[in-house]
Amino acid sequence: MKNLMDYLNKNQGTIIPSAGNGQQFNLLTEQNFPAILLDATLTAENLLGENSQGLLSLSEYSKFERDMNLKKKSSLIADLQSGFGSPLNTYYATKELERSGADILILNDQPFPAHTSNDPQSTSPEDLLGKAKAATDALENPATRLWIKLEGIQNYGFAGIEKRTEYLKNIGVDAIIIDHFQNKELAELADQNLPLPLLATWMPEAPKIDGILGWIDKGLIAQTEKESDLAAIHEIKQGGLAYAKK
Amino acid sequence: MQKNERMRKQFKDEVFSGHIVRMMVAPDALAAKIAESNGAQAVFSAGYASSASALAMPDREIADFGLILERAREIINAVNIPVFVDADTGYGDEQNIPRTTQAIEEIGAAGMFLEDQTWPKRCGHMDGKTVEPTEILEKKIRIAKASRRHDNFLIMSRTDARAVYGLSDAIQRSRRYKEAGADLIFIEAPRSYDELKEIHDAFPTTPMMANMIEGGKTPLLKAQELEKLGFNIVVHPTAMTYTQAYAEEKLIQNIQQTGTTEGYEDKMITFSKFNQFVGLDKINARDAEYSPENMKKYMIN
Repeated sequence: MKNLMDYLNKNQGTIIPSAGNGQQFNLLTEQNFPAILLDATLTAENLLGENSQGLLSLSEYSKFERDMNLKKKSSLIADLQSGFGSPLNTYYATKELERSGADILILNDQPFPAHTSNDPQSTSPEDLLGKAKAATDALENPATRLWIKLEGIQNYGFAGIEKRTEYLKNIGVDAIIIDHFQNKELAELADQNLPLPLLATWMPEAPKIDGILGWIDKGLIAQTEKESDLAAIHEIKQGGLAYAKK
Repeated sequence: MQKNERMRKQFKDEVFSGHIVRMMVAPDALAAKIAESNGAQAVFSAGYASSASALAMPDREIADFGLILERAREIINAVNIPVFVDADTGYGDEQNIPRTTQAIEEIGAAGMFLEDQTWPKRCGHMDGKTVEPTEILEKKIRIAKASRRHDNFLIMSRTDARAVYGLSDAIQRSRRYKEAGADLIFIEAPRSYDELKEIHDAFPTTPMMANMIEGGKTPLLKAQELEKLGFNIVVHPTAMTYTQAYAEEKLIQNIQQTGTTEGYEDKMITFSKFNQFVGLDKINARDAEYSPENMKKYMIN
């Protein structure tokens, strides 16, 4: 996928799926999705058995990314989290993830270390801009894109989203993703003329809203897998109990 | 042109230039940077040095693919000269070859070699080597060529048959490897100047590599002499590892004897020169560039 933005402009409302293990990545690749996000939370669950992205180091994540890069047939979106440290760390993390196969990188606006949370903290605009500038400076391929995930609408409100988006445009960021929103808030944001293309995170109950360029899945496949795993575990336990009773 | 393609093209151009490429085996990223800054045209990330550096163990294929790949990647990322990678026997059978090839290619290597030793292999100048039937490496080379994603990523065949069946067999095998698609040829451990000449005469138009290992089975020739013989690459596989080990051994012995490093500084790089060499000033400057104060200029509507 040479230009995912062109694809999304022609196919507004596309859901970009997330993967955290090789099987999910392969299944999605076979279905010809235009892009796949290698989600840090899902990867932390897969590699570390931990439900927090902040526990996953850059070297652990990028090794997995390189393995998936060998399998990719469309755009690979890498999760830069909150830059894996300071703006200087963000600079080198961006280089590492781009060289490991990323076509698009997503930097979030949490302080380091980023956490998997429904109520994340927000870093200062200065820290976010430092990291965004470092990331744009680090990119080698002019076709690689930087998206910023703004997770703090509950902290800094509409005004904060508007300001951060303006500032990020000045840095040269390509798009923003809104996370942790109320549906009404997202609809209002979509109505505004934000200076950068707007995407949002997606879960099955997400509303259909015009003006959202694309949706980033938060891990439906992993969640569904977990439910079937639990059902299978239940069955194994029941089988074991039945055998014990005999 | 991005770095990976630039390095592949640079290496190919140099190898086919008619002049010899001086390639240092670097045990790690720091050694590679030292080689680069002192004029090496290319670096080789090879099993003997990586095994010694990472595990303090001999080259008996105990260092696995993951370790070798990661070491090569660190070296590639540290320098701006082409890096060639030792792919041993491909780290398995023919099923491993596509992943081995593509993984090495994707980290930005300029090329790699595959060899015909029986697994687990050993250093080419060690005794007790055995080799696979020729068909095995022929097939691996065909698969590697079909798997590579860029034509400029060069595949070299290496045969260790000289030690097992003699030079004629090694040349015969290499002819078949070339027909299978090898871009470059390497016959390991020839034993004389005449054998080196015979090797080149057998492949007058295919780029060849000569391996100059101290204490090995091949006479040590100068790069200029090898160039006159028609070789296109000379590699020094152990010199940096041995020099590093020698210098560190001397240092520790001195500390044990004197209880201090005082008086030994003239055998070391200085604190400030080393920091300069690894780019501390540039990194500090970059760090300052992203300070909160400097970001204020972007905070306008």
